[in-house]
Amino acid sequence: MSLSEEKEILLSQLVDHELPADQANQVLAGILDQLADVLDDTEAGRRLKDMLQLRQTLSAWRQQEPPGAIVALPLPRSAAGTPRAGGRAMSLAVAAVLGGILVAGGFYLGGRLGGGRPRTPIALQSANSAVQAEQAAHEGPRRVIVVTPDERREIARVFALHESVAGPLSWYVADDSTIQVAPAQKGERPQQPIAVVLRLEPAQWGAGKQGKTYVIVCRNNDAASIDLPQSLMAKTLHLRLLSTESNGGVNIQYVLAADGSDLAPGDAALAGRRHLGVGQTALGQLAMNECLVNVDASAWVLRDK
Amino acid sequence: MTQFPAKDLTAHVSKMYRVALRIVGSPEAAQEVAQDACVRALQGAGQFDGRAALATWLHRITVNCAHDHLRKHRQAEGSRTDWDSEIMGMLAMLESTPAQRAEQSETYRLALKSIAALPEDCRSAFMLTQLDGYSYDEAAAIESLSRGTVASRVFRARKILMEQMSHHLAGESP
Repeated sequence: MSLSEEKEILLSQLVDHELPADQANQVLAGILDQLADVLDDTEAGRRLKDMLQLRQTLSAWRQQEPPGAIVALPLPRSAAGTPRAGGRAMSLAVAAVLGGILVAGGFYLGGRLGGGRPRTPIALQSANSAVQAEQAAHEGPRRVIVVTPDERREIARVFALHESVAGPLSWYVADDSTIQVAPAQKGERPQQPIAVVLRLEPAQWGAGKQGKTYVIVCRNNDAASIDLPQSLMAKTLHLRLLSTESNGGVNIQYVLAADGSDLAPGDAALAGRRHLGVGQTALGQLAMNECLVNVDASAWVLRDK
Repeated sequence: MTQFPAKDLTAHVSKMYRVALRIVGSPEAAQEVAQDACVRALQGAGQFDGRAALATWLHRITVNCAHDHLRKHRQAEGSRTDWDSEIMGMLAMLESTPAQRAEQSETYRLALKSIAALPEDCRSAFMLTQLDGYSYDEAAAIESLSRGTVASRVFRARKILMEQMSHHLAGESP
């Protein structure tokens, strides 16, 4: 006894769970009837078994999942109400960095002309006040950083511009208003640069508290001690960061400690290790007075052209 | 204009990744492509008018991102972006399968090789539903076909594959 093609198409849909429940039951009941009544010919049973086996064979592919996190979360609206990518916060920082380049360049050139280069980090104010005004309008639920290839290229370009002006850097960090850079040791050959985007965001929104994004470029396998300025409830956040290239991503070891007028040093600290990629990864939560702050980061190696 | 809820996008991320994986042939590159596709989708959320199914829209974005990636990274190698090269890439990825799964891998490899030999129309419907994980309705929207046509093509593909694999396995047995 052979099956009609129509019935086989039904079996095919049955193994894909594509039949409505009632119809699936009807098909199964029909097969059971055949099995019971036609013991010498159970083609329907065999066909169903073959189809199930084929589907099972390909399940290995269907179970493929991304090796790391892919960010697909709600994005903030701009003041104009147009949804934009989460890289917006990043763009603000990048814009600030670009705004501060001339200032930084002038400072360093001045430093060089006037004598030896300072070894300690230097904080520079960006003249880009529009960036701050735009950020003030930047409110909403849970902002998300998505580091796109264009943004990665832009950060690499800005870092290269800084180095072309100031010489080799051990690290640099930029937020929306401030840039800090640390020159590399004289005669030292800097390691591969690694970009880290650090994002601090209040766990609960309100009371005018806003998140903060830092774009950091440090060196592979070279620990950096950075004082991140003006972060939420704390005057300064001390960051100790060691980034190491690993399996196409970046392993980081970090200690983040708050130091502000309302906080005794060490009151709030976060430490750990993570493997990061371009997608945002949670580092943990930092308690600063009554404000809980989510700390996320993404990182990648800045490749030479 | 209609904006899709973000949770809807999240529900499609795995499928977007698998589509990217079979096109670009490397998990890391596929993750990057899927991430870029998510960004493009979120950036263009305001342009999603709801007339097309979300799956269709996201699938097209993912395929475009994957082809952009191939153009950027493989242009010099003159790589093809057709079904055959996708299957070859999937087979290459299989080489890293642990030895203890070798027997299962052999059946899997045979299935993939047989898929490469399917008629074009059947293969497309089969890959969308059986490899990428789209439902018949989603595959119908992506291919601009009726659901019944997709069901029929999936069945035809399945029938051909079962016959080919059955002959092959019978030929190998003592």
